[in-house]
Order: sequence, then structure tokens, then C-alpha cells
Amino acid sequence: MDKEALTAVLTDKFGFTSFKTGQAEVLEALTAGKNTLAMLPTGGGKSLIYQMMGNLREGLVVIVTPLLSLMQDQVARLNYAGESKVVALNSTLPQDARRTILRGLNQYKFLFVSPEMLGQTVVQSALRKVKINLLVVDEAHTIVSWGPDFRPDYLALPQVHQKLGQPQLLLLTATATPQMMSNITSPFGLVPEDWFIYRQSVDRPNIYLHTEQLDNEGRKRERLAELVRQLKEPGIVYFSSRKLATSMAEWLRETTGQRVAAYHAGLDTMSRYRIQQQFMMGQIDVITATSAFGMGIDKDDVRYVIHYHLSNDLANYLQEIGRAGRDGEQSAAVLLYVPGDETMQLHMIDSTIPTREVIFGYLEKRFGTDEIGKDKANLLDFYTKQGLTADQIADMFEQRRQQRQADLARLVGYAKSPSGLRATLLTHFGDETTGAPNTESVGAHDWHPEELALVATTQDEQPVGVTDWRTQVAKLFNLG
Amino acid sequence: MTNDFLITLFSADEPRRHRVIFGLLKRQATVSTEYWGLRYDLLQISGLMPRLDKATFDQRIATLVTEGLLSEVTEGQYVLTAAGQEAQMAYQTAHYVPEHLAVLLKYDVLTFMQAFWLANQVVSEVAYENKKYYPLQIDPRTMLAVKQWYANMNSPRLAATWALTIQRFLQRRPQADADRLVATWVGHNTPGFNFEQLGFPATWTDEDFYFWQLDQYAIWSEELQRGANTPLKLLWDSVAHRPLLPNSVQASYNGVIAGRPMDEMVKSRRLKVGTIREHLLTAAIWLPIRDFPYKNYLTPDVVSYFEEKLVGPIDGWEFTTVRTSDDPREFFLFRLYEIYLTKMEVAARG
Repeated sequence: MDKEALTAVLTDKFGFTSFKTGQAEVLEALTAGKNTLAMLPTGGGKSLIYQMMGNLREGLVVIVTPLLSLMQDQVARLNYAGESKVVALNSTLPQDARRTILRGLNQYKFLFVSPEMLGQTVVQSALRKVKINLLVVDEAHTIVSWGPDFRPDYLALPQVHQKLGQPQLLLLTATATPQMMSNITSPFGLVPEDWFIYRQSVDRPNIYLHTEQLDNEGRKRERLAELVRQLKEPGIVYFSSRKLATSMAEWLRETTGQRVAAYHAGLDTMSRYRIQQQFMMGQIDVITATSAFGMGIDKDDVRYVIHYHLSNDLANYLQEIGRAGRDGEQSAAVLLYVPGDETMQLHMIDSTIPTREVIFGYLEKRFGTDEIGKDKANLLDFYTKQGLTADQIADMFEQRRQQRQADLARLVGYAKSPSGLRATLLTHFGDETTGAPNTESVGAHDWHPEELALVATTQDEQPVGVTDWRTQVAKLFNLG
Repeated sequence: MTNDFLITLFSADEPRRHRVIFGLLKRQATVSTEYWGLRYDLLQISGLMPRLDKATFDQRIATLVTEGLLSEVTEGQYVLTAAGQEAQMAYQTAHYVPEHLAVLLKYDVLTFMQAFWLANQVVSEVAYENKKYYPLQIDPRTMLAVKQWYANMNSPRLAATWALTIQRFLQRRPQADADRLVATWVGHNTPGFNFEQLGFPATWTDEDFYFWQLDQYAIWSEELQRGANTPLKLLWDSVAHRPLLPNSVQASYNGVIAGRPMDEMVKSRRLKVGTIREHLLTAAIWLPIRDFPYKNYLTPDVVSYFEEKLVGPIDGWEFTTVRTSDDPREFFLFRLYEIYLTKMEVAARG
């Protein structure tokens, strides 16, 4: 299908008159029958691609999605777009509801599913009975970043693809190095001619890059408050723990007088919904978040993203700062770093990757699931089933540990770098450096947000308190 | 001092098993959990925290121990220390203590709350004739119930009728509660307020907010149960009914009441006799004393034998003291006798 015909469908079904960069190219490849890996920047309209395919062809679009919260956001977004034939299959559904969905799969156009659920034989056999339009893997970098030591079912996706009769693939990601891209596609065992790879530069010139090294935690906190007071909202501040995201939200509210709310995976659905919607409607200035935030949110005018803690690596960092400036307007990504900040991430690597002792202990049945935890036990069971010996598993995890440590070290290198921030990012992702001037700075001395028109000019609105219930009910139900 | 609600579930006089308390909060019912729930007078917390996970619960108990508020007397059994008693009292003044827990046993208030949130959002959007919005993603089964309810609600008067029902309820609530309750709702161009935006006392936690909300919907459930057939009542009817006894337990109980012999029930329902006895114990635990035929089992001979052998407080009794053979029926009678006496104790306390 050519671009003109695609645009006609786009206008008819979605009310847009033109595609965002890359969307048309990917759709042309898909309608020509190619398996596709598309790397489009965050906010580049990845979900529109599979929505279009759902409208262009018969059959079920199956979307593999890593997080429950993301799945819920995606379902709500399709509902919002007027699509009702959409369903999510995940572990929160009771057995009978799952069975009902699986029996009636041909009623739906879109099925969201976790990789773990897709790994189940009963799900696969239900899918074999319907026509699959497209198998989409959203956030496809998780195949290589989460598969090996966190979500092994991601590694089994190529086998599932085989079992489903090799339906056409669409792998979507916003962040992947050339090496990651090749690691994502190769396990599917398809010849290169069967693939269409679309890769857009990761560069987002409208996001100004800035880093600062601080002496200690106290200084970092003060600096964060200064920045939050100074910068034009809305903004997002990333933390590495739920606890800190919550306590810092309160502290920032008190210190800066701004409307700040914490957002993380520990929130219940209702609280998460309220915060997302308040943020969308401009009733919250700043979100203090863990990495759970943002995977499913579409807010175009985020003016800054500050990292109070390091991400896991440059790919995650890029993904997170990509929440800023989706409207193309000037925005900023600030990374605050205190020497030693990486300790927390290093601990996390150590606690998630099983040690040699744990691997041998579990496989020789000296430890049980209770001792090593369910996640690690699942992981080791997975590799054992693949026929790997304890030694091979231990070697693989040791390599994995070193890999993750090296990835983290690159991000620390970025945080400590005296210059060349954008070049570091672009080189890492295999992009050409543009050498655009005045798009980055290092250290408080060279930080001039006024020159970027990123300084808050208006007085912050004060939070509105609870009003009389009669007024609220009248507004809710349009009672005049 | 502590902000942890769990402190309210322990006693200074009676060692309590933390596993029992966890099982009750999650409504992971075994006869043993329920029996101890009855002994601790904690059956009303059954299903209060369905999303609680074991690791978090264990961590919270460990924190109470580290803070010197709980002490482990034997493995897995805890009592309040002197500091714990003070902390328990302080907790009750600084926090919201749920007052309508008994309603939660009768009705599925949690599901009703979720169904109401979504239905209320849908009706609010209908009032503005808006179809383009992000529906709340609640539990899928409840979502389906709301969809089915809405499919039968095709009336142009829906929003007005709905609003009227709501207003009638709110008028009877204290103003501050009504204001806050409505502020939590999601609707057309209304994202709703979260806990920290509602101006509750500064000492409150998320858990207090949760209990406060449950109480509001519990009060509402009591009203709806008695109320007229409004669209809201129909929604409530479709999600909030909860039988006191699980179906299989009810069937065993009905069989006994109808005088069906045990052997016949075993045969016709293809159950083990032990399973039916467990059902009967569950029924005895949950039903008022007058509704269970204790005399069918606790015959004068059985009672006089127990009275002779079992002395001191019930919690100190051992089955081995009364055991005479390998017949599992003996344990059934022993446990039923304990349940009976507990119920009598409670009745005597008034």
C-alpha cells in the first residue's frame, strides 16, 4: 500500500492528515508483508502503527506488552480512540474470565498479552485457531534487556512465534543500540531479506542536555529544589525507589510550593489514573517518579526531566528523558550526580543476578524457591529446561553481570563527562554526531535556562481544595 | 509509636498467630484460620486487605517487633508488649478505625466501590454526551459487570436519575465526608483527588484513607440493600451480593439441616467425609449459635466427657487430651465443642 492510500485511511479512521516521521515507511513495509523492527523515538506514534494495521487488515493484532500498567494504559487509549474490540489478557484475570476471552478471540481486533501469558500452551492453542493479523512486541528492547535475567519468557518469544505459524512481526522500540537491534531480530531465525529495519536517529535536538556533579546528598537535594522552583513546568523527576519518590514529593511540595505528586508501580489503579489525568490536565506541576512512570503516558508538553538518581544504563536514560518535549518545543534533561550514586544500581545488579553459589545451590537442591526467591527460581528453571548445565548458567550470568556493570559505567561516564554529552549518547546508539551548538552544558556555572526560555514566569496556581459536594455533583453530571 | 494498622490486631493477653491474621486479611480461608479468627474475635477483618502480599506483611510484623511493640512468645505467635499497648491506644486516636467491618462480611463492598467508580465515570461522560475518554481500568470481571449493567441502562434520564440517587445519599452524610467522597470520583474533565489532596488529618496514612472509603461504601451498601430499584441499586445488586458461606459449605449445611445422613451426602456429592466435616465446622464458625445444630453432634455423653477431660482456658486445650482412637470424627467433635463454647462466651459478654 502506498503512502497516499495509507494517508487516506489515517484521515478516515483517526482524523489525522499526515503521518509522523517513520510511520508511513513502516506501514508500507508491513502492508508489503515484511517483518519489521522499528526504532522510533518515544512519542513518535508507535501505537498508531498497529492500530492502523488493525484497521487495514482482517484478523487479530496481538501485542506483547511488558507491564500491567502499560497494558491498562494502552487499552484505555484504544478505547479513547473509539476502539471497543480490544482486550487484555493478564495474570489479574480470574481463570474463567481468561477462558471466556480465549474462546471468543475472533470477536476482538486487538489482544494485549504479557510474554508470560503468551508462553502458556492454552493461550497458544487458542491463538492458533484464529487468524493473526500481526504479532507486535512493544518495548522490544526488553527482549535483550530484561529477558536474560528478569523475564525469561521474553527469550522464548521466537519459539512462540514459530508455534503460532510465524505470523508477521512488528517489533517496536524507542531505544536500542545497533548491537541490541541485531540481538532482538536474530533469535527469530528469519533471513535478512524478510526484515525491514527502520531506524530513526535517537537525537532529540529540542532536549537540552545538562549534567551536574554535587558533593553530597544534601547539596543534591537543595539543587533539585532550586531547579524545580526555577524551571517552567510541567516536569518529571526520576528516583530509583518508590519510597524516595514518595517522600521527595512531599518535601518538594513543602519546599517549592508546587503541586507535586509521586507516581510509581506501587500505586493502586485509581490513584495512578487520578495522577495521570491531573498531570494531563495541568493540575500537577511535577511528578516524582520511578521508571514505572511514562511507559504509557502521552503528555506532549513536559518541559524538563531531572534524574535525581541514575538510570540503569544509557538506553534507559534516553528512554526516560524522551518524555520531555514531545511537542518539539525547547525542553531540558538534567542529570544530578553525586560520586557513589552508582552503588545503588550496582547493588540492584547484584541482587537480581543469581550468584554462582545460588545457581549451584538451587540446581543441586540445597536451596529451594523460598530461599532464593520465586523470580530467581523461575529464571533458573527456564535455563535448565533449555538444557544448560549449572556451569554454563553461572558463566552466562557472570557475563551478564559484567555487561550490566559496563552499561552502568557508561552512564556514569556520561554523568562525569566534562563535555560532549550529546556526542556520547549519539555515538553509543550508532548515530552520527551533529555538533549542534548550545544544546548542552555541564555544571551549574554553565546552566542558563533563561537563554532557553525555560524559566518559569507565571505564578504557580495554588492547589484547589475540596469544595461543597453539591457543586461537585452538579459539575460531574452537567446539572446546569 | 507506630502508624501500622496491624498493631490493632494483636492483644497483650492472648498470643496470636501472625499467619492467621494474614490469612484473615487476605480471606485465604482454612478451617484453622477461621477457627483462630473466631477465637481472636477477628473474623470481621476477613478479606479486608485482599492485595496484601506475604513479604510486605512479614516485613511489617518484623518492624513492629524491632520497634519493641510486639514480642514473639513462641514461633509465629505474638503478643503486645507494654510499649505495644500504648502504641495501640495512640494509634486509635491518630488514625481512622473502620467502623463498619461487619458490613464487609455481608456485601462485597470492595467490588461495589470499584464498579461505582467506573459506572459513575461512564454516567458523567454520558451527561456531557462525550464518548472520547479514558475509562478507568478496574478489575476485569467488575468491568464486565459494569458493561453489562450499562447495556441495560439505555435511558435519556440515566444521568439525572443517577445524580438524584447520589444526592439523596450524600444529604444524609456529614458534610465533610460527603465533600471528600465526591472529590475522589473520576468523571468528565474531573480527574478526582488522591488521598493527600483531600485535607484529611496529617496523621492519616493511605491505609486510613482506604478504610475511610470502605466505610462510606459500606454505609451506602446498607442503604442500597433496603432502597428502591434505581440504576445504582441495580448495579449494586449485580456486584455486591456475597453469601456468608461458600456454596459447597452451604450445601453441606443444608443437607444436615434437612436431616440427610452423612453417608448419603458423601455418595451423592462425591466428597470425602472429612471435607463435609470441614464444611460443617466452617458453617458453625460463621453462623449464629442458634442456627447450627450443635446438639446433633455434641450429645450429653460427648459433652460430659469433654467437661471431665478439658480444663482451664480453651486456648490451652490439646486434642491429645481427649483423643481415644484414630477416628477423625473425634477431632471434629473437639473443634466443634471449642467453637460452641467460644460462641457461648461471646453471647455471655453480650
